[in-house]
Amino acid sequence: MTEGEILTVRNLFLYYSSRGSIVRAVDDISFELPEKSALALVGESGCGKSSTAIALMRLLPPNTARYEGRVQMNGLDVSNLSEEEFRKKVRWRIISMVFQGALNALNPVLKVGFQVAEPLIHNFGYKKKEALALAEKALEDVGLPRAVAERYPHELSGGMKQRVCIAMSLVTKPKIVILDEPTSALDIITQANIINLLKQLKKERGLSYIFITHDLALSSELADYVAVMYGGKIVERGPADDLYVSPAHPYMKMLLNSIPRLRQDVSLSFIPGAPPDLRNPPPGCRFHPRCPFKIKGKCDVKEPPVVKLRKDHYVACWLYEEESE
Amino acid sequence: MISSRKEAIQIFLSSTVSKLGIILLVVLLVFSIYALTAFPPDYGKLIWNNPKAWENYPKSAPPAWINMFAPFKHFEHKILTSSEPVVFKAPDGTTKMIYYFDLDYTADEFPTFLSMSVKGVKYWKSPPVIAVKLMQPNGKVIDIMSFAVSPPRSEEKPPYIRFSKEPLTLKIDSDTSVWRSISAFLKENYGLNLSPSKIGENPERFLFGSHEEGNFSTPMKGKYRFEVVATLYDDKDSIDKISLVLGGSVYGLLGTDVIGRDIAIGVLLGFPTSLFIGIVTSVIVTLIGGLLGIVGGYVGGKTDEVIQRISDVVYNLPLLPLTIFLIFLMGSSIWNIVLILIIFGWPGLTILTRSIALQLRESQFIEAAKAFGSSSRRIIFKHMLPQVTPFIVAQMIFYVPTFILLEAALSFLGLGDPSLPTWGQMLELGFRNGAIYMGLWWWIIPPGIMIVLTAFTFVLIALGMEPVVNPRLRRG
Amino acid sequence: MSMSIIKALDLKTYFPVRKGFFRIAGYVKAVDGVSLEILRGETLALVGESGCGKTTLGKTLLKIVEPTDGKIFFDGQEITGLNERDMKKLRKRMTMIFQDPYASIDPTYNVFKVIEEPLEIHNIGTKEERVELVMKSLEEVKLVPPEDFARKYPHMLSGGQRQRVAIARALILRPNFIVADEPVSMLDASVRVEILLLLKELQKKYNLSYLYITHDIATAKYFSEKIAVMYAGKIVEMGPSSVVLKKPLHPYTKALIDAIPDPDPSNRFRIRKVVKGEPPNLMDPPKGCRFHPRCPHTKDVCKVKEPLLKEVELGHVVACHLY
Repeated sequence: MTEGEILTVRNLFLYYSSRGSIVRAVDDISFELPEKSALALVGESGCGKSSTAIALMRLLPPNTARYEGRVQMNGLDVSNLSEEEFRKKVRWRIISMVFQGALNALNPVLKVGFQVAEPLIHNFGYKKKEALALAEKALEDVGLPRAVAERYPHELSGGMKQRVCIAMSLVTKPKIVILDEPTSALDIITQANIINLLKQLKKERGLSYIFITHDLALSSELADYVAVMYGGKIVERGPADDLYVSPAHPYMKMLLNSIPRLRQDVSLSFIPGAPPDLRNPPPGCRFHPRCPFKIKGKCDVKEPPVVKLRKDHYVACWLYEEESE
Repeated sequence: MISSRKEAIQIFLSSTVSKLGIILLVVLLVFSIYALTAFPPDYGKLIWNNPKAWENYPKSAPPAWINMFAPFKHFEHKILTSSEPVVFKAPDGTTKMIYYFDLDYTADEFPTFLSMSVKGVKYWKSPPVIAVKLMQPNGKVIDIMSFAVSPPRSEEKPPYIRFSKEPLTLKIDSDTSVWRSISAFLKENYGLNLSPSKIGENPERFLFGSHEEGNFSTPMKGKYRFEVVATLYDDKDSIDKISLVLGGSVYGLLGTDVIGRDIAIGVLLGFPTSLFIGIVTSVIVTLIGGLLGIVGGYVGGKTDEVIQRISDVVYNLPLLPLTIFLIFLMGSSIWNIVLILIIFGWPGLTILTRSIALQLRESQFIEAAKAFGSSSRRIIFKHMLPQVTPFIVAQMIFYVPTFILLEAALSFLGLGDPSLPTWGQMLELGFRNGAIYMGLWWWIIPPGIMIVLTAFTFVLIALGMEPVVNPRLRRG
Repeated sequence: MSMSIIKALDLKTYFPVRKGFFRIAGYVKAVDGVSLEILRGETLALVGESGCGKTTLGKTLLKIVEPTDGKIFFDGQEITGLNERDMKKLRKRMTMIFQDPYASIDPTYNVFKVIEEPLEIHNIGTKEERVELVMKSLEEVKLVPPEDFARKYPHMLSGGQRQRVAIARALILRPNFIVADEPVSMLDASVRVEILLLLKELQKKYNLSYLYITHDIATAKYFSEKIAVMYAGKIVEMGPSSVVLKKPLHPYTKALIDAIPDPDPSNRFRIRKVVKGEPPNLMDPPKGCRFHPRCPHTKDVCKVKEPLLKEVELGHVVACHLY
């Protein structure tokens, strides 16, 4: 794959089976993440962004119906690795994750220090004492006092718990960290603090992030690149400087217009209708039922191909069929 | 959450467990209804507990069907009733009623006794005379006895009534005149010289014994016929019923207990009793416990504390010693037992429903109802109850076998109501009379199995209710 | 008929914390001396982080929670001491929309029953009249065709649709005042605007007043004329939305505004200015100004004396010793 890319994803699929039908959560997506960069994966609830994280971490649920794709991480082709090899070489070594609702992912009966040390003990075979020492250092690195290691989760505030979860994802020194709505349950000021911490850690350690969120404004805090997901597909991806300022895809355009701005005075509009049912997506372009620019006979019939608009900037929309470099 | 009653029923019926449970429940109900309709309500006191009603029955006799498995065929206890008597007027002016009793003899042993039961005799002039003849399979006929009903007493006036309340039981085999008749028969037919007293040692041997095998040591098998002729001296005289009883060592479907009671009847009577106790207690306990739990959980504060403390105390009271004490005070009728079970049983449900109510109380939709001005009563009935009901119903179903078992246990310990033939009572009596040591399995195993089966039925139904109550357990 | 629909004077709501059956360990001072007024047809946004007492304030105004001290006036009439029976009549005129569209509707009720409930509680209308009213209200919140939606159960609807049902329920009695507690924070970003615009439309139509409780200041700017910032049970700043947000006076307001991003790609190069610390424990708030442990401009007086709300410019008040 391309030089300088820490993660390359090509034609990734993840389908679930549920009550007799197939949910096409991740439906043939491709994207790349350059080294030491953050990619924001944005979209509304149910668009498939969390499923993408699950697919990358290979934490597949028992009702997985289809899982395939070519994924390269840190130069290693992980697609064909066995479960055993993936666990040993990839998960929590190259890539780790801070889960959505991470505040509830902490075991209430175990001390915090032990939980942070766990991946070291289980996946890496460290002895308990060493692992705990590394865990304490990790807690310090995320701005918590070392004494927190002796506390139980319920003794900590929301912000502190979130820092613990970040420490857990970093203690094994991965290259890529997936952050799935890491601040959704936190207060504004705590959220800002956590984002600052993430910025700082990225700079210090040269980390790459995949920052999953539905909050477009928040995503701009970290994103070097943005990938917009809709109905299980990536409809536009490219540099942040482009996408937040002059997006190409109608969905991204309308999404930006529906966010209240604190510092600017713009009139708001909303996107009528609702996101598609991933079991039965509309034919052709998934967004066409809500799109004011749809071309009858084209958008409602055939899926638009991914087209390169300019360097690093791709869009899947029939409006840009002719434009390409 | 369940959106409708229909969906709840659908989910319930979708598992095999509940289908099996429902089938068993229907079986239980059918037997219960049969027991209730086939027997009068005072059967328990009048007949079940009346040893005299069972005096004609063998005591501690195994079921008749063991003959199918045993090489030695036991004599099955038989109560012979005749078809309608043949009535005609004899040339001497008397009315003759001839009763025929047929017996197909297949056993390898002799009956233990032979008796005749006469019920309801009414006469105007002379007391009727009843004569008994036995026709053996080989064609020989024995005149067994002739018996005259007691004559009128001095102060009596016609019509003279005899044996209407209590039937007359004639022990034919202990009647010396019978021995003499048999002795005469043997001398005449076989040239045997046996004294009546020798015959009296085991008269059945000579009535039914086979001469060919020598010495009447084995029975003569085949079709026997008893002919009972009643001679009546007035047209208006009447006899209600005559029956013959041949004592056997095995009886009926499930044998008999030490008093001679038909265990099959006992088991049958146990169906409605157990179901009644289980269901009634369970429903009342559920209503009390459930309501107190909801009210306590919803209202909170001091009310809740009070209800909680009371239920804690009651929950931890030692059931057995207090039950013994209360039964001693109040007597051991079935209602007292139910009352005691209710008094001790309600706290369990209170704790469960209280925790559900506490959880629900904090939900936003309850808050919303309050915000719109709904009264507490309305919230409890319209919002909390629908959510709590599936739990309560599931618990209620689960309680039924609990109370059936508790009653059985109490009865087994001797605290039960002896007038009511419950399965626990039967077990208690059996153990008390040493049924285990004597190997009287037919007394212990049927009621034991029934208790288990009934409990099992409700457990199955309760299991079937689980997916309704806990959405995560639903299939698909 | 007064201009002010709801007014609070030095309102206090304390929750006792019990230890055991009889002893009281202390009080959570969720609302600690709040005065505000909302006029007819006006929206006041109540902004603050979680635990600052804003939800409790909203519930106290509606007397869902009993106030510990202070006075509440509804349409000129004092309602502080009214018992629940007398309040019931007023509840037709003051209703609430809750935050969680999944939890604020009884899952065993279908949409029709949910919206009908207020009519049933107050015994309004015959069965036919109620059907008519419910269908009309479904159309008003744009859940069409109403017959279809009326039959559905909550779990069949999306978050946005459920919230519309909650709005229909709140409006069916034609109230004057609605407390909207974070009505859109659990909805997708693109749906929020739709719901807020719907609320605004209904406000114009029925001359409604809203208390819009939120932690999302950006929506407050679009939705409300006035904004009140709450911290640790007290109002620290209040005034016209545009003024407060463009020229915030209180350090906490400034901190909140600084902490919120707009979608701007240059954000990633900046470390955001964030005030340190955490909101205080409402059982034992700091002495003097409650914000002083975190404030970058703390003076000695701040640690001792509580600042009172002072009018700094027309309609704009702030409680801070800097002024």
